[in-house]
Amino acid sequence: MKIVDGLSILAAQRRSVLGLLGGGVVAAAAAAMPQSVAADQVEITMWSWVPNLQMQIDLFMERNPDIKVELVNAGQGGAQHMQFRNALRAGRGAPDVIQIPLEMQATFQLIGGLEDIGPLGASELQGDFVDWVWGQVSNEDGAVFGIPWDSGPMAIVYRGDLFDEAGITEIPTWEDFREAAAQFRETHPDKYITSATFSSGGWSTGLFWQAGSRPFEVIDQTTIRIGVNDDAAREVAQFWTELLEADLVDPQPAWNNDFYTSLDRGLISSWIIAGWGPVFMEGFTSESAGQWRAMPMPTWGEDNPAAGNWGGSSIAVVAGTPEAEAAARLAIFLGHDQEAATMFYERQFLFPVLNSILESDTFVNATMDFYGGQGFNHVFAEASNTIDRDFQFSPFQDFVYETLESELGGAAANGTSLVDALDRAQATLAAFAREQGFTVVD
Amino acid sequence: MPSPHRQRRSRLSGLVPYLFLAPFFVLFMTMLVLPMFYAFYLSLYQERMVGGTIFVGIRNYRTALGDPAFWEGVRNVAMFGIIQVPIMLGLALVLALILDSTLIKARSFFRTAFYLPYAVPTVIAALVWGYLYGPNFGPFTQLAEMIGVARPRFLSESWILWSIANIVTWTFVGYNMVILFAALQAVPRDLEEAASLDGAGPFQFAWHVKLPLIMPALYLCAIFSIIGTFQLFNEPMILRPMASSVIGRNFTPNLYAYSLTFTSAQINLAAAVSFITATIVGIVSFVFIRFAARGSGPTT
Amino acid sequence: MTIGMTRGRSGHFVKEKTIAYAVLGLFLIYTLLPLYYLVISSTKTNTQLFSTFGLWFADDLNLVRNIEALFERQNGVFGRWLANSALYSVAGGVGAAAVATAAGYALSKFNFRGRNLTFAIILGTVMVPNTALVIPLFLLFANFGLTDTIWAIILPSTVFPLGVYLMKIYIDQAVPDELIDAARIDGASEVSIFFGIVVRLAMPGIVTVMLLAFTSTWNNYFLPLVMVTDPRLMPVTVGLAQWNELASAGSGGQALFSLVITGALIGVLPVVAMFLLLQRFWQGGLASGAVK
Repeated sequence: MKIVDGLSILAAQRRSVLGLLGGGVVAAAAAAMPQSVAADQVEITMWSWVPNLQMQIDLFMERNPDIKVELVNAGQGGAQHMQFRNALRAGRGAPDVIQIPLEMQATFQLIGGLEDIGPLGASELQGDFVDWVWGQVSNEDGAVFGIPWDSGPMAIVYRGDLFDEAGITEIPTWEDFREAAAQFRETHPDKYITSATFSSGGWSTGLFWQAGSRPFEVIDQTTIRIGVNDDAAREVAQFWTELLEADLVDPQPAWNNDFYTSLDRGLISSWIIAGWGPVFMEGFTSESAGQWRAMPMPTWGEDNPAAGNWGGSSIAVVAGTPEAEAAARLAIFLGHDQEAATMFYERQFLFPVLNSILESDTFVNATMDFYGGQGFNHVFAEASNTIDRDFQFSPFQDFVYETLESELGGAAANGTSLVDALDRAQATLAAFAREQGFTVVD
Repeated sequence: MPSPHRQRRSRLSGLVPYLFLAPFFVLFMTMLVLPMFYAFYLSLYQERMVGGTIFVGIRNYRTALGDPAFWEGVRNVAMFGIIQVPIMLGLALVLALILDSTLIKARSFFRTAFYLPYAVPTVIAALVWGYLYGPNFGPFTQLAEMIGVARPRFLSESWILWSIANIVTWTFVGYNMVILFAALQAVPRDLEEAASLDGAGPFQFAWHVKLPLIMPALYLCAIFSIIGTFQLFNEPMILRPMASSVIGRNFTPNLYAYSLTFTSAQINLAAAVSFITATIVGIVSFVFIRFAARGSGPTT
Repeated sequence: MTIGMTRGRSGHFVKEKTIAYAVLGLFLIYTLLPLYYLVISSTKTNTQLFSTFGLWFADDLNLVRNIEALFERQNGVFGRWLANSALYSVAGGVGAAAVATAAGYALSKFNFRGRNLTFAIILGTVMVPNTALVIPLFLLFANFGLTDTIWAIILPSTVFPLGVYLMKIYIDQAVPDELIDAARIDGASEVSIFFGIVVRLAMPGIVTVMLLAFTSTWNNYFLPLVMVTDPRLMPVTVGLAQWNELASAGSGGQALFSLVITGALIGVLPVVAMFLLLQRFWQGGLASGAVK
């Protein structure tokens, strides 16, 4: 029986009591407790923020009676990364399986926090997942540091009624977007077509990604190329600087009460958001329900149909866990099992990364009552196919996001140049990487 | 353990005070002194993602002292200390003087009401004020629209420090008021009788007689407020998602140390930043105490 | 020390009275506004929060539903957070008060070598920014496997130098030397003097220190934020902030504002209740520290 770290006090007490008693008593006590540990059962802990994940965990335990899974919601975003780092640093309290955002894969790979589960059955699954997502969890040497779970291909979710009134039906390129924004402002002087939410590092990165920016390249374990201000990113930054200068888009930061209300009231009439967005928006839109539609992101030229990605996650096995085999089985089940994966997009609205699901009619044609029977999946699924595979995140992505957020978010709010902000971010990040012992090349 | 000289009791009983001190001493050493030394130790090294940990001597201190981002945070808290602390203490003083005067009734009600915010965790206070500050749909904006005045911009770059100052003021005015009120209650009542016979109104009496008598309590409040100011963390941390473009990682020295530790994993630099911050607090407090000691001499 | 003695002389100082009441009235509005907003908002659903006027009720009241949802979410983890906050605060409060009383007594009533130095050091550490210590303390605890346990929160919460200072001042005043000397002459043991005389006479001060430590532990955010990973060990402050953050992070995120607000309301109540019930002690005790 593995002593699982970081369990509740009660559980810990129960276990220590069990430890004091003799083996026979343990068995008797165990039998008396429902759902308790059988003699040869393995116990593993998983951290995830996916709501109602217990459904799939129960399914897993039903099929794998030799494994008992303890599910812990350790939060999301900065809080979760911090806690995982803390646990790794403390050498104690880390789970066996953990949900890792795609953008944090490189970071936790570098600090040695993730186990290579390629040999434990993950390698064979490569072809079943969307190509670019697989690229985020694996390296050229064939190591696999997690099973892809969901992704965030980006599109525009917009207010159909307001766009109709402004006579906007489609926006093929970003140049068209500029015109549409002006047209929209003319029709609705008190509203904006969208918000420049550069205060979100994930959002900005999605836009740069779409334009073909390659901000990071890990050349070897000690050498890294940093170019957050490369030409593609500069083009995006320049474009948005102009939109902001012309007062064509709203500059307020996203992710707060006020922003959500602005969306609901149409003050901000669209959100350039990822595949998980529509369901997220359900939580705070009331007046505008039924009016929302989706269209692909504009492109940077007809010949360049790429989309961007924002968010998404993977299921990783924590390095050094004594139960790597059981942990890998859980990760593979959650990410790869058809039944589980179907449940994830139907009930928890994770945007799928399994080709079989992305291509299935039930997924592509699914509709949502909340959106007046509209279906958005086909828009996002199409976007998912065009995302640049070779985009790499940095091995210190927390810091990259924070830097982008403060530089770009600040520039957007103050109406100064986003291009200059990118240059400052570049300088900060290069200095940081050198300080961390990397050799930085351009 | 040294035994005290000058004693009336047996040698053994000289140990008694040390035994009473012992529990505090042990906790004090392990929870306060030890981490301080550990922080100092850490601040002399650098842990890197590539190449492991190296001894760097005072380099982290040089880095921090030469870092404009750090000084920006210091400037923010200094501004805060110079403006927010006097306003908060002034308010607390006025309220305490009113509640101590014979002018009003229901004093106990007011005192309890004013004191309530102190019972609200700063995290929750910041969340609630954050909602109230919403630039488009916050209640203040809604009110401003109703009466037709310009919307307040609580979360804009030029307002944010004062919006945070407001949250801190809201939380701590009552706390300081209670301390000052308690000090005022100790002022002899017969003074008031005498003053009123001299024809002095309650305001003059409060200003000329009571205020000088409670200066020590006021200094105490000021010292704690200054120390609190340098520790500013919860409020900007909670408001960050709402004002991410204006509350940077270095908004206050504490926020900076936190971000250095947990976002960019620079624990050694963070330790140096913490050390420098503590030193600055120490110097400021010391200067203030000296200044206060001189000021509290024979005043009129 | 209590209020009482309103020596109203009606007719006097009408202007002054008006000004005084105006100041108090304005400040009362300022004080209660956020609390009022909190109460109003806790009766709204998530969508109502966004669609109705913030300072008045929505058409229907959803407080009960919010509370139910609050205690159901994540298998009722919120109830756990409340219990954790209570455990940490009571343990921290009682521990801090006990330790501070003993130390304050030693500093107040004994003349021993190192007394002044000890007192000076304690006063000095009141000035150390606590967050400067949290991170090193975390790293230190991590080495001993103490992070992610209740001790990682309780032990640091019992160190309260300000409490020692307050207890010394309080015992200086409240416990006469003669009483202690008399008891010693009668042959009372040091332990019985401490519990029989000092603790009894210093009770209001002890309660004050306990309340101060209780509140600061209940309100603490940074220490538990850093120290515990497991949501089942989190206090209310950290848990709620985490839920609030859920609204701002990528896939699978959720806007839980109504739950955060309702949770905030409920998280505030115990401390408020405690203060209202014990305020007599609290205000009396603080006075002694302030007057000196």
